Amino acid sequence: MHISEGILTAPVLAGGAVLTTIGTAIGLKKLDYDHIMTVSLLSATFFVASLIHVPIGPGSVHLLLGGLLGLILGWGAFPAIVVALTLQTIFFQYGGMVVLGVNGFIIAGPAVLCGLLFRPLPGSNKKKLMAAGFLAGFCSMFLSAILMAGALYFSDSGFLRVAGLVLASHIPVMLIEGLITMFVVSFLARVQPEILSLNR
Amino acid sequence: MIIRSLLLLACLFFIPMQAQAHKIHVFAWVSGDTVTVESSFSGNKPLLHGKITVKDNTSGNVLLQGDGDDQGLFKFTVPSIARDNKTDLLIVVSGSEGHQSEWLLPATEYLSIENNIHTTDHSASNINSKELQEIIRTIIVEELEPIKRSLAESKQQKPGFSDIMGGIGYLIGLAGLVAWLRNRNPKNPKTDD
Repeated sequence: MHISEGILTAPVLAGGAVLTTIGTAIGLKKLDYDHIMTVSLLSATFFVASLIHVPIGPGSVHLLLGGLLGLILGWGAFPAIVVALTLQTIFFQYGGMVVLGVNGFIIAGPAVLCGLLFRPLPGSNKKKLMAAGFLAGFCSMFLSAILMAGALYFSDSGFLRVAGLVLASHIPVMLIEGLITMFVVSFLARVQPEILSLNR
Repeated sequence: MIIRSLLLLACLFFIPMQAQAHKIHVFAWVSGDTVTVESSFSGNKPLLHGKITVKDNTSGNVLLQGDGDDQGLFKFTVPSIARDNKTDLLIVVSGSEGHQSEWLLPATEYLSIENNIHTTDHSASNINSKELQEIIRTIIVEELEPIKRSLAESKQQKPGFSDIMGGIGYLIGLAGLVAWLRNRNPKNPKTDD
């Protein structure tokens, strides 16, 4: 999910940078600074989740847990993901500084969108919560894969082949993300229900 | 309590972790006049049929292109034009999903062993010292190949435990910094929403 440097064209890079800057600005503005530690710990969760490799399917894919961040943090997921991505770029040479904007938007955009779409209503029952968790995890990964295919397409043609490959290689990880997010959300709802109401 | 449960969550993620990730590793080594390029994802999963482009590092001209095999290997002989101009070779490997990595092969690496390929026809009886030197060099090149490969491999940076802990530390430290900055200024007292 980390596009390397030297692949995308300048307009795509610039577009990604602009969108990520806007998203991060909104995220920082909406961030509840009383819960900054929660944001930071979820950022750390994302940072580590990207190292978990899912050895199923044709490609080499890893977890993102964007849906989980989106559900808990809402817009706050944007800065959380961008900061963690920056550290991954510095420490592990994933992606690159120039591509940070595009990669940030590919991951954080769907995370925020799914977090806002599927956030559980107060007092929703366990089934609804689990469904919301699964959908947030599954859809954010799905949309990220589509955005990634789009970014590659706008830089180079051959969209259908790349899109097919990206989507196919991410199907197992979409399901796994959905399941993990579902279980984490239901676990949090049991032990720490108020954390799910941070995203307002 | 929030922090405790999240810490538990973060700790859980360490258990299955094997520092595998989504990045292509490339390394190339020379034996005789052949350059072997090996590309893999971390976790030693070979990159299947990656696209390999060999470029002149200074001018950026494409010297040759090809596809890796099932083991992620690609072999090529150093183009004569590169040998004549003593150009450093930039080997770019790209996967299909927006991953790309490169490896720089300095001219000195392939020029130093270029002469070895001419060592033929040695009868045991009349070997002069020059020929003997050549033979020894050939053998050394062969013997050194696996060592060169593992040296090349060890140059690859993999996320280590300290990198990961460092990253988490940075994130928590950053949050602490933000919290401190927000609460430092008495004009901007902590508000309860």
